[in-house]
Amino acid sequence: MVRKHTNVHAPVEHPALHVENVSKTYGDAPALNPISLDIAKGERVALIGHNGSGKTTLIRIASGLLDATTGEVKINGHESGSLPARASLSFIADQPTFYDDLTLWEHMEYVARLHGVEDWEQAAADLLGHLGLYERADDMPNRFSRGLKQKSAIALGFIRPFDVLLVDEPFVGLDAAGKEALLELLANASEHGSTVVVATHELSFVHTVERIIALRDGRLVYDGDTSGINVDGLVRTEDPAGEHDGEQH
Amino acid sequence: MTSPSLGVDALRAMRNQRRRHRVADMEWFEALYKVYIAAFLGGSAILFLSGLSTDTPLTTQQMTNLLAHAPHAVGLIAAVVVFIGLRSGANGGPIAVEEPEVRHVLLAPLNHAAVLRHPAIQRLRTFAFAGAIAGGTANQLLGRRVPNAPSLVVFAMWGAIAGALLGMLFIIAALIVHGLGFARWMATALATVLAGWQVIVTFNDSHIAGPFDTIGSISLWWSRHSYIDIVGVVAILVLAIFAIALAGRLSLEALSRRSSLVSQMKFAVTLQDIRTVVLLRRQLSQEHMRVKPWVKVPKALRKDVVIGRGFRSMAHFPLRRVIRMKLLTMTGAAALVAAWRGTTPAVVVAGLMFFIVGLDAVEPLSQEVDQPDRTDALPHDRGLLMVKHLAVPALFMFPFLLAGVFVAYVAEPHTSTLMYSVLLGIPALLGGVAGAAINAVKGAPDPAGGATQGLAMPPEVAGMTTMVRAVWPPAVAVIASLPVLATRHGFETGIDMLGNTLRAAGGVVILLILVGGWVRQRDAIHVWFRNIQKAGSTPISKVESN
Repeated sequence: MVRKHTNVHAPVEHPALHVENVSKTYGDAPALNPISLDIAKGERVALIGHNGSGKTTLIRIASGLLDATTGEVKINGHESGSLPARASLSFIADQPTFYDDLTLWEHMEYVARLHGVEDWEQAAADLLGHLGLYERADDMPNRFSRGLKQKSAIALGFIRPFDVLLVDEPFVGLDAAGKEALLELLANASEHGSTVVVATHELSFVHTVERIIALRDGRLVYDGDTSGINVDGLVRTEDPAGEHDGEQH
Repeated sequence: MTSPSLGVDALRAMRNQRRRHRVADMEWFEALYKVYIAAFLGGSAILFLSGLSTDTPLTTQQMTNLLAHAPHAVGLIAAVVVFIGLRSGANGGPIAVEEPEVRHVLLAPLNHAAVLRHPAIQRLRTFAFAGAIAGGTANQLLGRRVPNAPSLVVFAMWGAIAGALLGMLFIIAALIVHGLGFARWMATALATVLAGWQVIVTFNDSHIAGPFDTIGSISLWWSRHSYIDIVGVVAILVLAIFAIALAGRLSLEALSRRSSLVSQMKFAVTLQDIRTVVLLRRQLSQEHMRVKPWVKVPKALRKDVVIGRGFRSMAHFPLRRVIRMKLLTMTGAAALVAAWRGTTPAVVVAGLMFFIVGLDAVEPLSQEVDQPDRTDALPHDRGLLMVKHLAVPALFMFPFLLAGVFVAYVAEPHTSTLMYSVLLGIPALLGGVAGAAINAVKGAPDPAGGATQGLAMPPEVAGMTTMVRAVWPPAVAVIASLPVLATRHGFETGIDMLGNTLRAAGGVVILLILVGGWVRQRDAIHVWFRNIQKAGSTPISKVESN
């Protein structure tokens, strides 16, 4: 049973994220069955599902890092992975990777400049300060702990301009202060009109979203708002549609 | 308008800065040591090859044959290189950039062509250089046997040019297939057509030109100038430009997948960790086990849990792995035929082919070794478990034996070929399995806890030990292919050909039994050896006081 999305933000001509009949197969093993959905500009969405449900696959296809086996994904009307799509989409992966010969500050400069940001220094200092990383700016992020790496990846994701933010399991490994800082950054991005899609089980974030998309075994099993449903149960259960009545999607 | 330090310019600036960092951080002594090692190994290889080729001048007839057949033969090597290149491209090759480069640069709004052109050219340059070294070396070795030859430098130069073109072809083929998004089957079909064409013109003594004859022909420019070859060279250079232009169309998924796998694979190669190389190569080429087995393993075969697990593993083998194993077996069989006909070094090729087949065949055993905690938690003797795991791979070799017999019979269509190919094929294939089994089992944890034992050894001893550990598994496979030489000797001398074959095959069977015994008793042998070492290092006074 799948509940229809009832968001007040009706999809416009060019949704921020348009997913049409997208599937992914590895050999003869399906990772994602055909999925279609639209996410409107400025929407704040939580993507949930148990391990192996296809969240990361869907997010990576949207970011352009994976090729869909079938279907298409558009970012603001542009094909995912295309130059304009990359310009408007920021992706923070679940496994942070860094150059092993650049400091965190040099990473910030590099990423900012690659994205054409000229006045990056103050923004970088603010971001690192907000995430409690300012003192570590001259260290190599490749040698950081899991949590610090995650914070560094978040800083890199936010130093560049974006309209759409895709984040995969960003709360893993973060301490309480880090989680709070990230929640503030995500809220701030939403306030500035960006579309925010986060794959997570973090209840503190899920409670703040307007829409939840749930996947199970590569299938879309729930797509709807959070009103009148048990969000905690929805996040924890492996069969969200089974616990909550909803319309067929 | 983008300022000079933004976008692609920022990329260039950062690449330059990183290069300067690397140069500044370089340990010059270590770099010189690497150069020394490379020069030593390269020189040794050249000396070894020089030793293989005699200095006896070629006869007039041999010279005529050389000039007539070299273009086809070198073209055949080029066809194999292109075959591999096309397959590599279909699997996401040939470029491997750093993982952060994919995440931070290729996801930035930069033209991918501007980002990837540089690594593509680098790759092309590296392969052209390696090809030039190999071609130059091979041609100068040939030059020593040509009567009234021009300077060896001339030989080396034309060989280097041919070799460089050959190396470039690999990258060109891979880039074009990847850039144009050819499906794997399309790339394989194209590769098969090109290779098949070259094989036909090479072995049928045809006057029709093969697709890669140009390269072989250029290597002969020390003798005669065939100006039509220039067209071939120009075509390759144009294709190179086209291939580089396609760099911007490479799949981000493939680059992302390869970025981490290739660096891991390089590391595994430096450690001579063949199992890891095999696993990473499978991931690189996206070779996944079948979710649905080919057949359901009957209950009778699952009576013994270990044997049943082996059959179940085989039932999940992907089709391409089975086809690859068949092709490798057939190549090995062809090499044995070549050895039978007089090319003795071909037994090494045969042994290595069967060893690679064995690496795939012993998958159930390798999986067991990959999970040492699980294996050690079982209430069974580990050695017995490992030996049992050899039964199914050995049986699994039977259909491959038939493929080998078929090749031998096609090459030597006599009734006796069937008998001799079975007599030689069984030990050869089982030798491949035995070599692969040694390779797998030596990766298992040392029950005597001797993982750090090598650290106390002098570098010379540790180096030799590492070398022996790396060479021993394929050496067993090569030894198992040697009986063909005994058969040939019997044929050449006209004395007891069957007896010679059986005696040699019997020797290999004894070797295989010893390998099985080693797998069974490896843990006990290690414990015994450590105890001996401990006893030897115990102070005498202490022993006396006890």
